[in-house]
Order: sequence, then C-alpha cells, then structure tokens
Amino acid sequence: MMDCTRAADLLDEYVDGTLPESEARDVRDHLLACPACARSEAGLRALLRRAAQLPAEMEPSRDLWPGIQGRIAAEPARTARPVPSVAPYGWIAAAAILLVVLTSAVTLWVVRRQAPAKPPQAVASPELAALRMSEPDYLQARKALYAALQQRRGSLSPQTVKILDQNLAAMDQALRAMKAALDKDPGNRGLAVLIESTYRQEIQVLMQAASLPANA
Amino acid sequence: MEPEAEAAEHHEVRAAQGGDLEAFERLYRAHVGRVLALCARMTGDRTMAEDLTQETFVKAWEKLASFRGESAFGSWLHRVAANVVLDQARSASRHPRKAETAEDADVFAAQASARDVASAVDLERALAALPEGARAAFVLHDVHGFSHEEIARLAGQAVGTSKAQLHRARILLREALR
Ligand SMILES: [Zn+2]
Repeated sequence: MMDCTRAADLLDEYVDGTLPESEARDVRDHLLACPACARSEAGLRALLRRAAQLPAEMEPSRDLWPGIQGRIAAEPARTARPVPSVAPYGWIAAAAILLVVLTSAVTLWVVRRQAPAKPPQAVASPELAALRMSEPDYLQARKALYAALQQRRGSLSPQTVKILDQNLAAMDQALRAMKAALDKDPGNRGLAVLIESTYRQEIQVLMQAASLPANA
Repeated sequence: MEPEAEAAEHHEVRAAQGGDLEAFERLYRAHVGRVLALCARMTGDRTMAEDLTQETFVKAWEKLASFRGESAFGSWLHRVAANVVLDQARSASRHPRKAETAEDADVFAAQASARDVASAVDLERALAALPEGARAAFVLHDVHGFSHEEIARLAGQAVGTSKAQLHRARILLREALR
C-alpha cells in the first residue's frame, strides 16, 4: 500500500482530477485507510471551495479608463494602428455639434443659476468625488494630446486648424466656467457629471484631430 | 456567456480591432472588474493592481490584432493581465511591496453574505501574505482557472515549477487559515 509521503505528494493532482486512474485508485485506497491523510484531503477541498467562492470582480476605486485612453492616445506612433475610420470632416461636424451642446449646457446652467430652484447643497456629491479622482488622468491625457497635435499642426489645412482651435478654445472656456461654478456649488451633481463628460468629449475630439490624415 | 452576448462581444472586438476606441471602452467596462480582481490577488496590492489593470488594457489595445478569437476574449485578456503582472514582478524585485491595509481587504467584501465575507477576507489576506511565486500559482490556477501549462508558459518556467509553487501555496494557506 502507498505510504503517507507519497499520498501527500499526489494529493494535489488527485483532488484536481489530473492523476492517471491507476494512481488515483492507489491514493483513494490510502485515504480510506488513513484518517490523517483523509483530514488533509478534506482541508484541501475546503480551501478550494473557498477559493472558488471569492468574488470574481473587484470595483476600481476610480475610473481607470481616462488614464488608459490617454496612454493609448499618446503612443500612436509606437502602436501604429490604422487611422480610426472617421469620414473626412466627420470630426469637424462632431466638434461643431459638441460646441453647440456645450454652449447650450453652459447657458442653461447660467440661466438656472440666476433663478435657483433649490439652495445649493453644501456637501460634495459622489459625482464630485468621482470627478476629483479621474481629473488628473484627463488632464494628463489632454496634455499628451495637445503636444501630439502641436507637432502636426503644420500638416493640416489652415481651415481645419482654425475650426479646431475655435472648438478647443470654446471647450476650454466652458470647462473653466463650469469648474468655477462647481467651486461655488460643490453639491451640484449635474455640473460634476457635465464636466466629466466634457473632458471625455474633448479628449475624443483631440484624439481624432491627432490622427487626421495629412492635409485634411 | 450566452451565445448572443458572445456574438455581441465578438462584434465589439472586431470593431475595436478596426480602431474603434469606443468599442474598446465598452470591452473595458465589461471586463475591468475581473482583470482588477486578478491583478489585485496576484500582487496583493490594490494601488499597484489598478496601475497594472490600466497597463493590461493598454497592452491589450496594442496586441488586439493578434487576438484571433480561438478563445473567449475574456480568457485572452486574463492572459494579457497575468503577463503584465508577471513582467512587472520580474522587473520590480527592487520595489518592495506595500503592506496590506485594512481598507484593501474591505473592498473584497462587496456583495456577499456576512459569513462569506469574513471567510473571503481571511482568504484574501492570507493570499496577500504568500510568497510571490506561490501566490501567482494559486491565484491563476485555483481562483482564475488557468492550467499549469498556461502558467508555465506565461511565467517562463517549467510545468513542474508551477505545480511545486501551487503545492506550497495550498499548504501555506491551509496553515494560515487553520
Ligand atoms: Zn496517510
């Protein structure tokens, strides 16, 4: 009959079901006859059940996407990806729409501000906390994209550069206005969400602009 | 995964392979929880795990063209993550790991009954205290379902080494949890 040392050596594979049947039979016989090894087997199976019950997912403490997006955007040369399939001038249309959305969002906010429906909340919202967490990543991505764009300004048509600059300036202005407003009213959840989505959209426009074909 | 969900994911992967970053963001949203869990358990360090999770998705984007759909996208992504963590461990023996904090363990507790939580937190803590190689073997094999062959390939070591590391981890964990 198999001894305890040998049984202990084979226990992992026995429990995993990867032992050839002849050896598995010997281990099984040993476990039936040896209470110490049987206890060891029970302990191992209990551990594996606990391991299988561990949560499959964990919640990140902050949104990790802006940092990923920024890094992807900052290394277009190294990754040598195909240019995103944006129709010619499609991004200009997108930026123009964004400009309208932003302008009306800010206008709407200013209007609401003049006649507040309810007093501003003093306490910072979860949306604000989320914004504070992801803001450094957005700013980093933005910086990298501005630098990338700066390098290829010369290869874009003057009209494209002009529209792009107008839109980026408008977005910057909108962001500044919204951030100043948020400083005064930190509990304003809608504003925090709007700022975050503006960052995302701005980065989207910057990425598309940075990957435009020459002379576009 | 349901066949329809799998087909939808396949569609997203194809779009991302064509350069569609929004499709890739949807893939990120669907998989970040599992990738983070793998990185956190392999490193025993939440902050480092979040950095490595970001690194995993950057790498995945770069290597996306090499994904041929032979396995599920999630399995492929897990291999990328394991590779990123093991690479980091290989190059960073000069950076000693941070000590585990109580808050780290709290996060593991989400969405389980009180008793499961206590047991899960104990196991997570015991895992975080294991030596690196043993922890990697246990997390990959017993928590995330990698085979010894896959682990050996990823870690650049013999299959026998992976088995020995797993054996060590299982013994240490049972002692720690007794
Ligand atoms: Zn025995």
